[in-house]
Amino acid sequence: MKCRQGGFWLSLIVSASIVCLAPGTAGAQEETTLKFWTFLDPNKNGPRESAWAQIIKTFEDEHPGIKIQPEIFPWNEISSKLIVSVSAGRGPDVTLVETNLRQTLARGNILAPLDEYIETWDAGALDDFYHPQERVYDGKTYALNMWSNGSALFYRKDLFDEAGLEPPRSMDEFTTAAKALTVDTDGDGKIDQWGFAEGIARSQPFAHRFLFPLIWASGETIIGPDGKATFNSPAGVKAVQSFVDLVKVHEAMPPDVVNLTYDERLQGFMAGKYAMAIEGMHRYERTQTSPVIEGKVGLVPIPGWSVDKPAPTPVTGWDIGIGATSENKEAAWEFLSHALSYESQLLNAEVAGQVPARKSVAEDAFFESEEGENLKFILDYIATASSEFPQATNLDLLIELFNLAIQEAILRDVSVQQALDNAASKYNRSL
Amino acid sequence: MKPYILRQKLRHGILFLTLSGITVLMLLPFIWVIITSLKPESQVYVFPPEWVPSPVTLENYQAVWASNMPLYLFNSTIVAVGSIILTLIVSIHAAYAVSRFKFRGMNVFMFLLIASHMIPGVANLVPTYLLASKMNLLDTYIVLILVYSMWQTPLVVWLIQGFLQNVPQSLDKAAMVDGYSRLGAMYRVVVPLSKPGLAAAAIVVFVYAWNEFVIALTLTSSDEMRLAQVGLKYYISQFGIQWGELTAAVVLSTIPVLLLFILLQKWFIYGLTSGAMKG
Repeated sequence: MKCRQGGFWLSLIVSASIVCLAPGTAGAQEETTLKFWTFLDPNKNGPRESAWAQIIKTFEDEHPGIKIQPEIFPWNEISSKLIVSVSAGRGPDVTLVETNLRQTLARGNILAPLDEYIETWDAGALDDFYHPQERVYDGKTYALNMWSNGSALFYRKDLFDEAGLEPPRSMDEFTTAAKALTVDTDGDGKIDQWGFAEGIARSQPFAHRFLFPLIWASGETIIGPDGKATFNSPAGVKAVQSFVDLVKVHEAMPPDVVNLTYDERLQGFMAGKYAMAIEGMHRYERTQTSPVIEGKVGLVPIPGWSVDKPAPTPVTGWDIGIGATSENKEAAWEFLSHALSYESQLLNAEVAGQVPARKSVAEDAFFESEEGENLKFILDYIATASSEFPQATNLDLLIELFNLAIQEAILRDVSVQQALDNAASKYNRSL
Repeated sequence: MKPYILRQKLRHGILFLTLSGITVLMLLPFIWVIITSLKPESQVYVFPPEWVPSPVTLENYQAVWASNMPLYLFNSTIVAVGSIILTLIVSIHAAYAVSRFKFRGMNVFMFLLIASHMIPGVANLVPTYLLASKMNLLDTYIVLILVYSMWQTPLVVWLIQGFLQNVPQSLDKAAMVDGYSRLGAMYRVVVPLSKPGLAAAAIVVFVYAWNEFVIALTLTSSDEMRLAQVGLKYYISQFGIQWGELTAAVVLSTIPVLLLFILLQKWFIYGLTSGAMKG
């Protein structure tokens, strides 16, 4: 009898222990902490940071059992840190992913495929995102767009008005404006204000952001389906030649662009040295901190080859994904879904001025208001004509070789065709 | 005045002017950093650039002080000082052994030691991370101190052993005759006479640990453990560069290195010229 009673108590204790220790049961709700890698610190006061703080807070309020632990890294170091950490089995649960590198990260099994989670969404929900097909690698989706960065032609409205010029719509109009706005303002025989500039210094070259769209505008590509470079096509030569001519023929761009970096070019624009610049919309607010150009910057699409067809804006930006080593993938997906929800995307647009990833968000009344004017401009531009940078095997090398080819054509007596052929050949050999 | 004295004074004058010119050129970027740090953000972009800030403002320094940068500077100080202590402890013993004992394969050993210093740090990053991860040392002061010390030890062993060779071995023997053990002779006689060399080594380690970026970024992840060099990178965002605050933070982060160099300047130069060049 005693033995039977002992068995009863023992089984009761074991059963109670199982009930209490079982994860996710009401008896002992364990808190899950999600490591979220980002470059925007929610504890800071900037608009982008505040938007993330609100997104995290609303998520934690709705999911009392899940805490978000942001870990902050410099934006251009997240990818390399991801590779090292995930390889060692210690990656984040959720991470921001640079759009240009998502395929590299997917190929290296750094990100977890999202397909089984996406299937839980309503059918067709993915169609609400821009360029969802670009996020598929080897038949699987590894990240979803969080926000986009479109680029546009930033021009000085005051200088255009003084010169009696209209903002350019085509490359011909662009060249005419660049020449007219290249002036010696103080009469000392030296040019003080250049019509246009784009940096192609090896350390931070950026002419591709202007010239890839021109190649796309001709209906051509940067790399082919086999992954080999195609930027040395006739369309590529035409685009690069127009850039080289701005320096060598029209003298509307300073020859020192070969030593100019992307950041230095922006500072020059903010200092009033350049009348036009191709720039990402995410840097518009930054330009307005300069008293020299505050309130004087206009936005138009990047000029194409004809007045009625702008060049497609190159769309970059940030995706969001789940780390391959995450042990909390379901909870991570909950957070990812929350960050991509209509409400979070609208909040990110209203508070942080970020271009939303969902087309339905663009229909909101906010984008008709004065505050949403610039976002409306770039959303319309993206909807009309846009393309993402190619997911090349080695995009950094591709960009470097392309820009070095432009340098070569400017500095040496080498034809644009020859310089681009050399660059394409070098890139293809590296594959 | 005799012609040869005149010629000598002229030569010195030209040398002084040339060196002064080079010094000003070398200092120009740093002077520009200080000037920019004293400008309001709106004045940073004025073209042509203004050499005298108008108005002079300390708002950038206030913003940096109110941020987490002081914590990052504190972390960097802990790691740099810890690295100096550990590196010197290991290196003094190794350098003493190399300078006092002859053993088979010593030259090969010394060559391999310095050759290991030539491997780029990035090449070891993944194994280092894995090791630190397995030992649960990630995101701690200890891991940074260990990695920096091991990275600098080969160089410092070379630096100090060259210097220790200048201390006559008869002094060790005299100390041992007086009753000291071998280690006692080293600690009480040789090490005190090697202070200039140790000071030079300390500065080399400090500057390395203070400036290192990639390892610090990789082996730490929390804000509480962030080092100053990594913290500086956050002023360069995708949305633009906060030049005012960045330059103010750079000026603040330079002060400890300057102070250390000023304090140890005499020994540093003496140590480098008399120790490292021999051996």
